[in-house]
Amino acid sequence: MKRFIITQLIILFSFLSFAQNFSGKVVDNSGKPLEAVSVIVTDAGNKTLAFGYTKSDGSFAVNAKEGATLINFSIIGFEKASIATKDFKDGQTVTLNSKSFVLKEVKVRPDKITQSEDTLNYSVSQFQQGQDRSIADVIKNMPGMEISQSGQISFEGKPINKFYIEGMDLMGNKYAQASENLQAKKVQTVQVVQNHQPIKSLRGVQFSDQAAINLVLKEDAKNTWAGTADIGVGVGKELLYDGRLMAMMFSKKHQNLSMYKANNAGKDIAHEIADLASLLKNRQEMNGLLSNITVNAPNLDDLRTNFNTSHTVATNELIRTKYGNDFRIQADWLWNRQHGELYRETEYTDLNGILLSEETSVSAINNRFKTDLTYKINKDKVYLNNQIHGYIDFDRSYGTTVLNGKATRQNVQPRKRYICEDFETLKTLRNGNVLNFSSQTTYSYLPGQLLTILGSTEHLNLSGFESQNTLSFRQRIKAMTIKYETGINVKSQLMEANYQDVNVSESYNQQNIYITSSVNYEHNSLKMNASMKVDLLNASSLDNLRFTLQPRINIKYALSGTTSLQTSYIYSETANSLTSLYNTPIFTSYRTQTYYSGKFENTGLHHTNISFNYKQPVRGNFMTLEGSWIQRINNMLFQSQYENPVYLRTPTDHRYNADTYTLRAHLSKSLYWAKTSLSLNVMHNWNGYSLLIADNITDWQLQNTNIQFRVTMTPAKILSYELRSELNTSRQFAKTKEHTDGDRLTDFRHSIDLYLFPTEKCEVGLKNEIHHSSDHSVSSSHFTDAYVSYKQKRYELRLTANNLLGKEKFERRTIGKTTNLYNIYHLRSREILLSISIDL
Amino acid sequence: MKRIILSLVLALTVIMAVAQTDSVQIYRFTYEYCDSNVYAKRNYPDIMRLEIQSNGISEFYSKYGQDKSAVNSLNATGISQAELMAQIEKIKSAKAGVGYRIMKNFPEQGKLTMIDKIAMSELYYTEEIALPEWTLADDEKEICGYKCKQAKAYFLGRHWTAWYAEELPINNGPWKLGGLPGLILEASDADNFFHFTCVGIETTQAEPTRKLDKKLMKCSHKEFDRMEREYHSDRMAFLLNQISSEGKTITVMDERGNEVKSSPKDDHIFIEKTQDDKR
Repeated sequence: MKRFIITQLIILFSFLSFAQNFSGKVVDNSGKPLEAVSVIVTDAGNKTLAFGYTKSDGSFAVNAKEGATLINFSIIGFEKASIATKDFKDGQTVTLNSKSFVLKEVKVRPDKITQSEDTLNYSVSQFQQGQDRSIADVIKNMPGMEISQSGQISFEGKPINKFYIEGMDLMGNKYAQASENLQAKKVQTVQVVQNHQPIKSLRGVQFSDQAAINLVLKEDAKNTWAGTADIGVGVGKELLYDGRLMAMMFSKKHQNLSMYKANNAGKDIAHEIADLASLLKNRQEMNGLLSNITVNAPNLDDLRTNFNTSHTVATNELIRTKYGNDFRIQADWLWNRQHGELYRETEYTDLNGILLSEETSVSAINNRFKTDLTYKINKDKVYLNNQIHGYIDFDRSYGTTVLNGKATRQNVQPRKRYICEDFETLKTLRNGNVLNFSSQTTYSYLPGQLLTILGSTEHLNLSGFESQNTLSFRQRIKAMTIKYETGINVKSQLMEANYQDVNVSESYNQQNIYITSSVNYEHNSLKMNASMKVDLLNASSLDNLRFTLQPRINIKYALSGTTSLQTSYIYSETANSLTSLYNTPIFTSYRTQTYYSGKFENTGLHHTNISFNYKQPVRGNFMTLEGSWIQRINNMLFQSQYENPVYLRTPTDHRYNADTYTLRAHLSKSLYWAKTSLSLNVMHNWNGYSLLIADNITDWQLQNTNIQFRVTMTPAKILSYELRSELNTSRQFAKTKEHTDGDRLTDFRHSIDLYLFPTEKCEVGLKNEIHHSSDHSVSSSHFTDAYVSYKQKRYELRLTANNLLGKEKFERRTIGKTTNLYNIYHLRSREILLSISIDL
Repeated sequence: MKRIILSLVLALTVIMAVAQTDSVQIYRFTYEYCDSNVYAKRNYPDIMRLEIQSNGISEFYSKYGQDKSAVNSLNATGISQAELMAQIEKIKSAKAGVGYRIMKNFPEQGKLTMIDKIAMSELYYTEEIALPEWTLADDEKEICGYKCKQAKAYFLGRHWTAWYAEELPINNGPWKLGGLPGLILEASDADNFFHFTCVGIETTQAEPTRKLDKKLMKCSHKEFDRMEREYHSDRMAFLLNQISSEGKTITVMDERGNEVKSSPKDDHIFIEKTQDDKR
């Protein structure tokens, strides 16, 4: 019995010590019961032991384990109350005092990049820094995207295949005009459509690994004519001017972008109207052997080296007919005079002990007119594209060069005209199969003239006719598309050369017939495209018949939503052209003569590529890793001779294979914090080749490394900056014992651009740039530019001062495959420019 | 004249004052929501909002799911075949969010109302707020500047881990979660199929919750679960059945012109797991 009582007592005690019941009522100051008050019982260490909420009558009941020391009462709008458990009487009424409650707020980050299916949407406002004006300035800050000097935009290392504005293809392959002149404030979103197949009826039939860009404009920028006028005047060594007149219209039925630009202050306005090659199909127009004499320093901004007088007029007009088809006219005219002064020392790797010094003073004139007419039907079942493309120029260069102390006059007219008709049509048949016919025909005429160092004028006229016609049939079998293609190509080229006592005419004719079968397979994460081309080529003018197999395979596999792997292999034959076959020594520059074997060359290349892509748009992370191997087979080995004052390159009978390996990494990251964008590009390549030195064949390898780093940031509302660093290194390695490796040459370029925004309307920019080199015989250079700008809603006033330190010369050494150069460039002097930009 | 103007101004101020009482102050908590059903296909999370009014009524919905224009126009138009296909495309490309809306303490204290759309029918059910049996844990972490404590519970078929802030004495949380001595700022299930994280907190104005739309169809929680599962087992058949029950008929064809009557079962993972669900 006793034992029983003791046990009972123990149980009772333990119960008492382990569980405590707290109940009561919570009211406000006026005695009104409070509902939903949180009641939390904690121990000495602030650990929550038990909790509850008051009911509508204000009552609560909480059971807590042992160790309860405090009871907390809290509700929004009232002061928190805490009562020690030892002071708490069961059934007690707790009164809370009202107190205003302020929520600690946390702002939701707006989405910078969102993704739906294959489309990435970049919000322009999230990437625009204070100093950015054009949409291209903003695209530079977007992770995953890059813009080259020529204005070409790449996404994940691959050039884009279309540039749309509001879903319409106004610009074609001259999109730099739009990207560099369209104000960022007019654009809402930049969309990147990945794996974009521009031909609607081929979507889901033929995959593309290129992306397209679409600009989504703000509502107020649509359906109305808008324009800007910029006028600037300034002083430097001469009177400076910089002007731009632009008119734009973007509506659903009609788009237009037209402009006139004039400049003599160093701006390169010619590149904007150039065709961006990535968007062109096989270019068929002939490239000449002569070229204008220009001196552009590598890695230096045009604003420093370009002594120009430029005018361009360009217009792009697109009309969408009532059937939804596009009719487009593009026309532009460029007049550009570029004056250049250069001192150059040339050393030939394959000619011992010859050092040439040249002091050149030349003017190069471009006078070009280009026009395009396009009609396009792009429907789900039908596609038709007809384009007529014409070009004419009156380019010429003239000046003097002092070659090893002896003055020579220079005069070259590298002129070109061509007209190209490009037709393609596609029809989806009732059973889903696709029939395709395309035909491209080009006639080029290149009448050239060159004054040679020997004092005579060389007349070099090239003309070419080329026609490519293909018929193809695509058949769908489950997840596979099989394509059969057959084509006939005809090429006919003629060259007439005439100088001194040389008067020759050479011609080249070839006909190709080929059949290609290809398989396109798309299933879940795998996309594959493989093809085999069976080609029969008849070079009728050289009595050569050649039969080749040209395979091509491309596989893309998505490892997950964020990562993908891509690999490809291609073997292709290099197209033969008269300009790489002719057998008469021809001057290609005033003191360089060269010619080829005059026989049919079986050159081709194997191209293997593997790349890994990672992107996580939510976190703003992008990465591309890429490795490639290119083998060029049957390269011609040349012999160099210097017969004072002419440098002669003659072909030998030896042929060799050359390997080029390239590794590339591109990383970019954007942070919400301070609108930060970081990007890092690393590239290394190994470039193998052979040279004939003193009748011995020697093997060489040129290695280049390029590292680029860029940060832009807006750490405070009044400040933003851009930091860039670039390293370029090159070195020649001798693969043969008799020769020694060349010296390593490393160039550095660093720049810090600082932008201050003391008030909303005012902006100050200060740019600093330093160039230095591992070669200490070349002096380092430091440049400073500055500007002040005042912005109102409709206009902007800007005062710019360039090259404040007045640096007028720039030295640079470069290593090439066959030549090592030492250059001294002349730079634009200190200049001040006042400009106004008005929105019309 | 002066008097007229004065009285006009007065009347206007009164009207404006009345108009202003139309909106109430709310606390809005914004959650990033990763739902593995959609997250596999895209890289951005859904944005969910929990809006709490001073009278205790709360609403939980997706910012993206609110754009119902595509779906609504599907109902409004007399549905031709081409239109249907176009609309389906449009729905697919629209920035998708979960379509449900959960209202707590509505229509009365202690009740929960769930509104959702299955194919073309808009449904709702009302039930008692079910509260998980939480086990409090010792772990702590900071979310959005608030110190949070951890708690775990088995709730509606899944093991949930939640982080709540005692500094915010609000009995609420994302989805159907609640019942902790502070607002739940983060919650995920053991498989991490569903994950809510608070990313934004603000005080703002909103229209007070009013009566439910008359066209909503009432059902029970069980009926709702059953329909949802039927829908995901064959969406096309479900849709066609719904259309034909309204007395309309349509034929859907694939690219090659064959009639399509069913679609493959999608492995939808339901946030409320019933005994028959595998995952």
